Amino acid sequence: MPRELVTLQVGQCGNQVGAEFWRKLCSEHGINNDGIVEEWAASGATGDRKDVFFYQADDERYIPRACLIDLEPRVINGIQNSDIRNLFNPENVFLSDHGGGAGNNWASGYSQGEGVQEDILDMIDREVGYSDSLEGFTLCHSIAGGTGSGMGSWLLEALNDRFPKKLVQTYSVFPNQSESSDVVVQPYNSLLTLKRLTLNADAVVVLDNTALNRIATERLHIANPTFNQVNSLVSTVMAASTATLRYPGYMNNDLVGLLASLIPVPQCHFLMAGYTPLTLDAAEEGGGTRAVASIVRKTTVLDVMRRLLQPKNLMVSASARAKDYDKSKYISILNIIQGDVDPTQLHQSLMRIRERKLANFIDWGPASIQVALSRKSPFVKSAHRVSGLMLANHTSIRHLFNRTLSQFDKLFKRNAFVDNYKEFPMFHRMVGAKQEANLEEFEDAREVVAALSEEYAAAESSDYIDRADGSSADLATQMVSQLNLASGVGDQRAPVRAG
Amino acid sequence: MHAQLFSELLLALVGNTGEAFERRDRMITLNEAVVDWVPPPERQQLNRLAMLGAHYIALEAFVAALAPQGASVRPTSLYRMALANGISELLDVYRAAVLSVEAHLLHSKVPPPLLSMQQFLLEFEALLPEVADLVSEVHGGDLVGSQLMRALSLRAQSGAPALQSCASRLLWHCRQVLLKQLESWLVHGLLLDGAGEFFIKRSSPEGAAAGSGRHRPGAGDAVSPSPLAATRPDGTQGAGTVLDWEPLEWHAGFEVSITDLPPDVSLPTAEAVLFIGKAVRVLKQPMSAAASHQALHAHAQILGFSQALHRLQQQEEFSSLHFEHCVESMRAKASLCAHKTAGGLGAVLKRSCVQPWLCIARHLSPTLRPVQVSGLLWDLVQHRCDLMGQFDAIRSYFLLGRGDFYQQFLDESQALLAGPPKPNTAEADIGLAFQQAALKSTAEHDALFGAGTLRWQPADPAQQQLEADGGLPLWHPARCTTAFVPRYDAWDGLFLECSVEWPLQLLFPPEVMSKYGALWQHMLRLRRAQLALEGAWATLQAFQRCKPTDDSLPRLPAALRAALYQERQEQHHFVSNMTRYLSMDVVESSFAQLRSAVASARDFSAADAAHRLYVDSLVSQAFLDTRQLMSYLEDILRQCKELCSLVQVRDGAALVQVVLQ
Repeated sequence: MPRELVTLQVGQCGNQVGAEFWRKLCSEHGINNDGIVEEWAASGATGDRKDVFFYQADDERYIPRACLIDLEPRVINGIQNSDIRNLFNPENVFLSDHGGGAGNNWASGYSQGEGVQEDILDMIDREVGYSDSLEGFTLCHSIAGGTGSGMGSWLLEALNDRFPKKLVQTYSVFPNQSESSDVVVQPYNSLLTLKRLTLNADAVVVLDNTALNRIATERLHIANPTFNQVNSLVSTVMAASTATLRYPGYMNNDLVGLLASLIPVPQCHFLMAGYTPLTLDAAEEGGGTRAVASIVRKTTVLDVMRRLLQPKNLMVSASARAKDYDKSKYISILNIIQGDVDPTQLHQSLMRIRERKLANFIDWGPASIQVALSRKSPFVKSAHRVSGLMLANHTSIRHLFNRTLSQFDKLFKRNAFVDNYKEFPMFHRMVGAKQEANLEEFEDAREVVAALSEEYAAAESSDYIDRADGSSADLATQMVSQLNLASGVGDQRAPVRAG
Repeated sequence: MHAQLFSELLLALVGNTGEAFERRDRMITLNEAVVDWVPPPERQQLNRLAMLGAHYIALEAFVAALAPQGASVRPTSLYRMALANGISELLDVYRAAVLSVEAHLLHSKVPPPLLSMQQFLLEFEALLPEVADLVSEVHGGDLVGSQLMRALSLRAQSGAPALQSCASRLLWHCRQVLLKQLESWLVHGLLLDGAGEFFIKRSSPEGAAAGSGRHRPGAGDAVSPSPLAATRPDGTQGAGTVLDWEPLEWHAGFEVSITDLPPDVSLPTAEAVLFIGKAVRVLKQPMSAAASHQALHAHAQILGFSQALHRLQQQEEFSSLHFEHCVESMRAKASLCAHKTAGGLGAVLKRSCVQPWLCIARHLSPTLRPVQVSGLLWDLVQHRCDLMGQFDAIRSYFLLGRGDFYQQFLDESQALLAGPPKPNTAEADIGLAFQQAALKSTAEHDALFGAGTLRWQPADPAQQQLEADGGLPLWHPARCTTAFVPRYDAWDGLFLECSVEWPLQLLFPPEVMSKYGALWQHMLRLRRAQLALEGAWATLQAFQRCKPTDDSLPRLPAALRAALYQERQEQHHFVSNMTRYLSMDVVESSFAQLRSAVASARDFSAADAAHRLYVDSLVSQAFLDTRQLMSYLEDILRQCKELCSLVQVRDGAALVQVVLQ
C-alpha cells in the first residue's frame, strides 16, 4: 500500500530486464511463479514489504505492479509462455495491433505511443488506482532501439503531464558504443531519448551495455555473455537499489529519501551503478548454463565499499570514464549495503576510505559516502556475507553524453538516415501540400544534451555555485521580468510532493 | 535486727510497702518515724535494698501496661511487647531470688546479717536500676522498633557480665520480632508491621512524587499511606497483610527506612532484603499460564528461605554477620533445585557456628552478587516473557527502528502536522494517524505495537501548569532532567506512551522510560526535518521538470535556484547524516552490546544494569545531555524548517519574492 512504485517496462530490452527483475523480487520475497507466497515464506513475520511492488488479488495472489508494453510480440509472448506466465496481470500487457515493432526508429515508437495513448494511459491509471499513495514510476527501457527509446520518451512526457507530482525513475540501458551496432541510427535514438531523460525524469540509472558485457567477460569469466546473463546483472542492480524500500530499516524507506541525497541539482540526475560481489545464479536463468560466479571471497564492509569505488565494478563503460578521470568528481555516493553488517564496522570503513582519499568529491557542496543498511532476503542463499550496491552521481558521465553527441554529429552532418524520421509528424511540417523536413527536434535535443554535459563539466569546478551567483548582478531586473511573467497566472497548482 | 523488719523488707522488695517502708515519689525508703531504732549505717543499707522494690514496681507497671488487652486505638509496638516479655522473664528470676532469700530467712534461726541478704540480691542491684533506667528511657523517648533495639544493644556492650547477658537476652526477645517480620517479608512478601517499625516500608506516593519527607517512623499512626491501608479489615491488622500486588510497586512501592534500621543490619543488607521481598511478591503474583510453572518452582525455592530463617531464629547469639550471610545466600544464585539449596544453606550455617568469622568472611560478598531470587526473576523475565522481543519493540517504536512505519505515520499526518495543533482534538487526530500508519506498514503484524500510544500535550506554557499540578506521569520525557531535546514546532508536545506487559515492567522503570521518551522526541523531530527536506527536494524537482513553455509556474533565476539547491542539500546532508549517526552508530551498535550483555546475563540485576547502561549511553551519544550542542541543533532545525516552508510556498511568484527578501 504505502509508497508504491509502478514499473513500466517498454520495448524488447525493457521487458527482458523487467522479467528478470520480477523473477528476482519473487525469489527474494518467497513468492512462487504463480504469485503465491510459498509456504516456507508465509510463516512468521519476515518484516518485508511486498506491497511496494506487488498488490494482492482477491485470491491473495501477489501481482506485480507492472505494465508490459511493447510494439512487437516476441519478447512479451516469450514471457507469457515462460514459467512466470501467470505472474503478471494479463490486462497490463500492451502489444500493438500490427505487431510490427518500431523498426529501431525513435520517431516511429514515439508516434505510435501517441497513437495508442488512450490504451496505455488507461492501463497506467488503473494500476495507479490500485495503489494507496503512489510514490512514482520506474521505467525500464533501452535508449538505442525504437520502442524503448521512442515510446519510452513519449511515456516520460505523458507521465509528466498526467502525474506531475510523481517521481519518475528510469533504468536506462545505454547501447554498446564500442562496437558497430546493427542499429545504425542508434545515436539519433539515444540523443532524442536523452533529451527526455534529462527533462522529464527525476533520476536515471545508467546501465551501459559496454560495461555490462565487460563485467560479464572480465569479472564473471563468461566468454560470450548471453542477453539473459547481462539482464541478470541489471536485475541485480534493480533489486538491490530497491532493497531498502522492500526491507525497511531506519531510513531510506522511500524513493525520495534515496534520491534526494543523490541528486543535489535537479538536472544532474544520471546515476552510475556498481555492484559487488557479482554472481550469476544458474537456477534463475533457467537456461541450463552452469552457475558462474566470481570467486567467493571474504567480504567485509570496507572491502565491499572499496571495490565499489573501483571503476571496473561500475556498470558504466570504462572508456568513457578513463578520460579526464582525475578531474572528474563524485557529486554524491549512496552505498546500499546488504547482509550481515556490524554497525561499528561501517563507521571505521568510512573513515578508512576518507583517510585514503579513495573517492574524489566535489568542493562546492557537502559530500560524503552515504550508507544505507538493508537486510538481505532470508530466502535467497548467497555465498557472500555482505554485498553492496553503489549509486553514484559522478561527473565523468558527461563523457558518455559527449560520445553520443559526437556520434550523432557524424551522422547528422551527412543527414544520414534522416529520411526514416521525416515520415513522422514530429520531424516534418507541411508547406502547402508538400512535406518538408523539420529537424529542429534533433537540434533541440542536441542542445539539451550538450547543456547537460556542460552542467556536469561545470560541477567539476569548485566555483559551480558561485558562478551561478555571478550572473545575479542584474538579479533585480531578472526578478522583475519573472514577476511580470507570473503575475498573469492564476494557476495555484502546487508542485508539492504528493501526500 | 528485728525479724519483723525483714519480712517487711521482703515485701517491699516485691513492691508492697507496709508500715516500716514507705513509698515516696519513685523511691522506697525506711520510714524513720516508725523504725527509729536502726542505726544510720544499717538504715542506708536497708534503703539501698528497698530501692530494688521501687524499680520492681516501675518494671511491673511497664509490663502490665503492655499486656494484651483487647483492641487498642493505636497498634501496640511489637518490640515493646517483646521487651515487656523479656522484662517479665527477668522479674520472674528476681522474684525467685527474693523467694530464696525468704527461704533462707526462715531456715536460719538467727536472723542473718543484713549484708548476707544484700549478697543474695547483689546481682539485681546492678540489673534492676539499669533496666528501670531503660524502661524510663523507652517511655520518656517513646522508643519503638529500631531505636529500642539500639538502646538495648548499647547496653549489651556493657562490661559488666550480668548487665551484658541481661541486655542480650532482652535484645534476643526483640530480635525474635524482627526475625518474624523478616520471615513474613522474605518468604511471603507481606509486611507484618502494625506499628510501622520494620525497616522496610511502603513508600507513600505523595512523598515519592514530591520528594518530601516520609511519615515519621515509629509514630505509630498512618502506617501505610497506600490504598492498602484503607482496605485492611481493622485497625490492628498491619499493612500489606493482603498480598495485593500493584503494577508499579516494584519501582516505587517499598523503600528502606534508614531511621528504622536495626543496629545489626547494614544498609546494603537491608537493600538486599528489600529486593528479595519485592521479588518474592512478584514471583508469588498469580500470573499467566506461561509463568505459572515458574511460579511453582519459585515457591518451592522461597519456602527454603524460611528454613534458613528458622535456623537463624534458633540461635541464641545473634550475629549480624550470620544474618547478612543468610540474606546473601538467599540472593545467592545457587542451583535451581530447592532442597539442595536449603541443604547447602544449612550446611553453611552449621559450619559458621563453628568458625563463624572465617567462614562468613569467605562468604560475604559485595552487594551486587548474582542472587538466587534475582536468578529466579531473571528466569521468569527472560524465558517466559521474551525480553529481547520487548527490547526490540522498544527499539522499533521508541528509537524509530521500524522506519517504514514512521514513514507511513509522517505521511498520514503530514497535513495535520503542517498546521497548528487544535488543543481539543490534537491528540485524537494524531492518534488516528498513528493507528492508520500501523495498518499500512509492517507494524500491522507486530503484536507489540499495541503497547504504544501516541499522546499529545500542549507544549511549554500549559506544561508548566501541569507540572505545578504534578500531573505529568512519571515516565514523561519532560521528567528526564538530564536530556535536553531541541524544539522543532508546535507539535513538540507529542510523546509516546508505552505500557509494558507485566513482569517486564520490572526492567522499565519510569526514569528509564522518560529517557526513551526524550530519545523518541529527538529522533522523531530529526526525522520530520529530514522528510520535510526531502519533500522540498521533490518540489524543486517538479519545478525543474515542468516545461519551460508552461507559463503557469514561473521559473526561478538560475542563481537563486543554485543557491536554493545547495542550501537544501547542505541541510539535508547534515540532517540525514545525523539521523544515520543516531540509528547506525548509536542505536544499532549499542543494541548489539545490549543483546550480548543480556545473553550473557545470569540474573536480573545484571540485566537491569546492562539495560540502564544502554539507555544512558544512547542519551549521551545522542548528545542529549549537552545542552549547548542541542541548542545549536535547534537552530539548524529551525533553519531547515524555514527553508522547507519557503520551498513549499504555493505560489511560485511568492516564492520569488520571499527569496528576494
